[in-house]
Amino acid sequence: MGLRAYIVRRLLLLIPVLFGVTVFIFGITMFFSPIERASLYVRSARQMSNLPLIIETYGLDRPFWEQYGTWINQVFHGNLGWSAVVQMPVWDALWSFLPATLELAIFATPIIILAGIFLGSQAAAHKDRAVDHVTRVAAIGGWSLPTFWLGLVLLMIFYGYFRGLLPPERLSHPMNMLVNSADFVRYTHINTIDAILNLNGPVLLDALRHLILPVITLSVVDVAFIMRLMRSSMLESLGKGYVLTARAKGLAERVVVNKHARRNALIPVITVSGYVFAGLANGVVITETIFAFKGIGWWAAQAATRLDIAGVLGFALFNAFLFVLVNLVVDILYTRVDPRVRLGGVVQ
Amino acid sequence: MAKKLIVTIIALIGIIAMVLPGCTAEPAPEPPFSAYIGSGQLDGKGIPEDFFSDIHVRKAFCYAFDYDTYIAEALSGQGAQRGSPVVEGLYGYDPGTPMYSYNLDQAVAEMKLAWDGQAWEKGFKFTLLYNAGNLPRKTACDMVAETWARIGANKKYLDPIDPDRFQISVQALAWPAILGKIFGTRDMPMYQIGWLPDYPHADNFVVPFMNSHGTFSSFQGYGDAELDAQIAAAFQDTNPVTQQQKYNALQQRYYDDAPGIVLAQPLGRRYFTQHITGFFYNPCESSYPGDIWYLSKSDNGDDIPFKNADSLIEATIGDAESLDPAWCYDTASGQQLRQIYETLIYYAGTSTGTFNPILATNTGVFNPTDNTLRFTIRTGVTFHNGNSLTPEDVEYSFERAMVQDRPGGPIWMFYQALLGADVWSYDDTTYAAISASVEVDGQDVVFTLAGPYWELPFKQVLCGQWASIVDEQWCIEQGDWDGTEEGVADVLHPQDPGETALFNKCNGTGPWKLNLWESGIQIVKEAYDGYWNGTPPFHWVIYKIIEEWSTRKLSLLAGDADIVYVPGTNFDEMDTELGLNSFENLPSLSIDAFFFNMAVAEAPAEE
Repeated sequence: MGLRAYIVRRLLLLIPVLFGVTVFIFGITMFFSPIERASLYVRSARQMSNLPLIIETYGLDRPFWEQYGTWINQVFHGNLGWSAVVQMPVWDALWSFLPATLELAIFATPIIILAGIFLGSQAAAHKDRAVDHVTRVAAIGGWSLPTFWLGLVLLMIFYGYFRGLLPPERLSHPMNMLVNSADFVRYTHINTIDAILNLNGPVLLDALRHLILPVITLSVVDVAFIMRLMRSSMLESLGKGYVLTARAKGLAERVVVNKHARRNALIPVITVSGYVFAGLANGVVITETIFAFKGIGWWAAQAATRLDIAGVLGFALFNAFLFVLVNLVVDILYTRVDPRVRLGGVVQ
Repeated sequence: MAKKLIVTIIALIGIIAMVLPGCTAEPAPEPPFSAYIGSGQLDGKGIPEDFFSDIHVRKAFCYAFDYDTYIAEALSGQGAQRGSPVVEGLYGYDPGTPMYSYNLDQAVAEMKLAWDGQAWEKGFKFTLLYNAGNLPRKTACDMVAETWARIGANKKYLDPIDPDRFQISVQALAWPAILGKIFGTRDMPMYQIGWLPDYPHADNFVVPFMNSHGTFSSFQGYGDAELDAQIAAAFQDTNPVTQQQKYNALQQRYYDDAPGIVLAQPLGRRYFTQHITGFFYNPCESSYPGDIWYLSKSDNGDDIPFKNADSLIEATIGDAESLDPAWCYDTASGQQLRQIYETLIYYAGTSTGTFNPILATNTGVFNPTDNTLRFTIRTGVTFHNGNSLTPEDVEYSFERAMVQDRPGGPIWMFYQALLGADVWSYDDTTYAAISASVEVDGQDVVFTLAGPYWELPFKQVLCGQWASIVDEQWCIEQGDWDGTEEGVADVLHPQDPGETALFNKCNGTGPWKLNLWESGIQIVKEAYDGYWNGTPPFHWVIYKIIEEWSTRKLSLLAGDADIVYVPGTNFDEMDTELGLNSFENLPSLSIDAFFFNMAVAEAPAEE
């Protein structure tokens, strides 16, 4: 089967996935009573006598299929609904909160993957020696740290103790005013990229300053994950016959490790790396909330806690789409790393 | 591969089939009684549905609450006990209303009278719920439970002691679920909820708390026709002396009937960096920093870095819902509008019953013969786009709000005040009546009130952000209501905030104009050079949303924010920080109370 046919078929798979996900989520929200769902639209005690009116206006007491039908009908007309937690259409919310999250993912993913692969293969190559012990202890430590704790501690040290050194949010106040002025074109709304495109050094530095802590917070946990995976995968391939052969024919240890063992050990890591990126790109709720780095994870968490169903569904659609896409990319990457893999499920 | 697809689809259908019965099935029939009242009988293992309909039970609970400890612990000392929901600062408040004191002897005596002594003999068991995350409410629930457990374990009251006789368990639920229980299933025997005023008048509190159709009382089964008539009579009395007597009687009545435990009127605190001076507090000022016009910022001291000299930055929680004055009914939106738009009059200084002219040049001339209230409109005022303010703009502003009549919005106050007690929305009246209620007369605008007793409350309504004055010509250019009866259908009853033309566009007469609204992130306002009443004290006014408390606090200490919202539970930790100016004991016009549900799990009363 050709690559193109494979991609088309995988994309077609999106249709049942999206349908299933939305029906499932919609079904779950129906377990909340109409009054509970109406509370989203109540902003103060004095509006509570209006609950019956709100339920009627939004049709919250209609049967499941009728409510789902209304929603899916909207979707087919290109309208994903209104996200009441941020007061904008769901589509706009996705676009306005995605750049912040992507910015985090773009910086954190390479750090996580490269550092994880490097540390993991070093640990495996020096199994049971000091390097191995130190990285393993550090990995378990990093993996066990709760994000909210690490994030807050970093913030308290680098923003609290060193007053204002590495601040939360995405930009400081004067830079914020600058990027929103007419002198600055926001091509992507990813501040670092926009700053480069606008050739604006101060904005770039300021954006990077705001990125350091959230990226560290994200990396510490996930590096440990990749590192441990890389280590065990590497140990496995170091024990394989072809490594023995390579050593036997007198290759330098560096070549054995880097070329023969590591390349084969990469396959599971690539799979996981795809999900690491997807996991970052669909938002990291705690990091985004602690650092007021408002991205898609923050939005989705707000929507979920306040039963903003249109918002939750929009986020679920985005998520499903993202994961199918990432899966596809990972599959294609396989063929690059492992020539034995042929797309379409035929392994020779 | 194809097989895989089929398996996936079958699995999905399976999941859907599992979920659907929960959604499509008719709601399960009501259980005989709620899950929170145990056995549903007075047998020591529960309480009957109408347990709290016995006044002695209610009084016993009122006596068995340690108000001072609650205020000290749950509110960090920032609260004052009140005898009724009518709190200090409201027109009609009676400082002489008696209050229940913490008195276990009396609590026991009352409980022994309840249910012919059965309540005391058998004991009771039920569950108290509070909305998860609300620490003061949790504290109050725990205190109620512990007090009754102590009574059962006290030899003075019960010999031999029986620690299990009075069992109250405490449980947390998410806020939407609590709302669903209060206003839907009504299966909680006792719950807490708070109230903020629309306008600072006793009527705005006695109606929701005591009227048989009130927002709270109707759902707890309190109030009757006789009490409703008494409430209406108090409101409609135009003699201030006898009106005050009637409100005193209503407050006494709440004490006597004890339909709830009135916990406390919260006293707020505000924390600014040392660089901000000039704060003063009006209890009606819904916005957190108060009237920012009087604030100024300069480099005072080194404890906190001095940054952004030309900006006032507030970090807080909760975004605006809309920037359309006729839509907004929440404090976050109101705060933005207060800086962008202006009203005809506003409260004078710290008063809640006297007014200063703003866009009017007088505070209203009332004519009792025809119930008209006349304002002369100020000249020389311009909107942010340069248009001049005219009396026609004022007339348009009020009529626009009434023909938009957002469901669940604030405009019922205009209808009530201008068109009468039976009129709550556009459906209850005619376009002609709306049009006639606000008229231009030369440089004056004349409101015809529904009754002479509306003079004061309507002036209070006029201070609210819903009464902001908009620019007619500009509004029509934005696609808003065109000023004709035919145009009403296009703007009537919007469903989502984004449907109104002024949702995220502003053109007011206020000191600041809208610069940027990034939903969920920040609202930026910029000084308006052409402001009629002087130069605004800040070039930028920024409202930032930072949900995480530690982050918010650190922004204040780093000088990146000048004021942050401090939840009551964090007051104590702020007192140890250097470089802050704090303002304490600021009475808020709100009350937190326990409500007794006198008929658990009964169908809600019809409005």
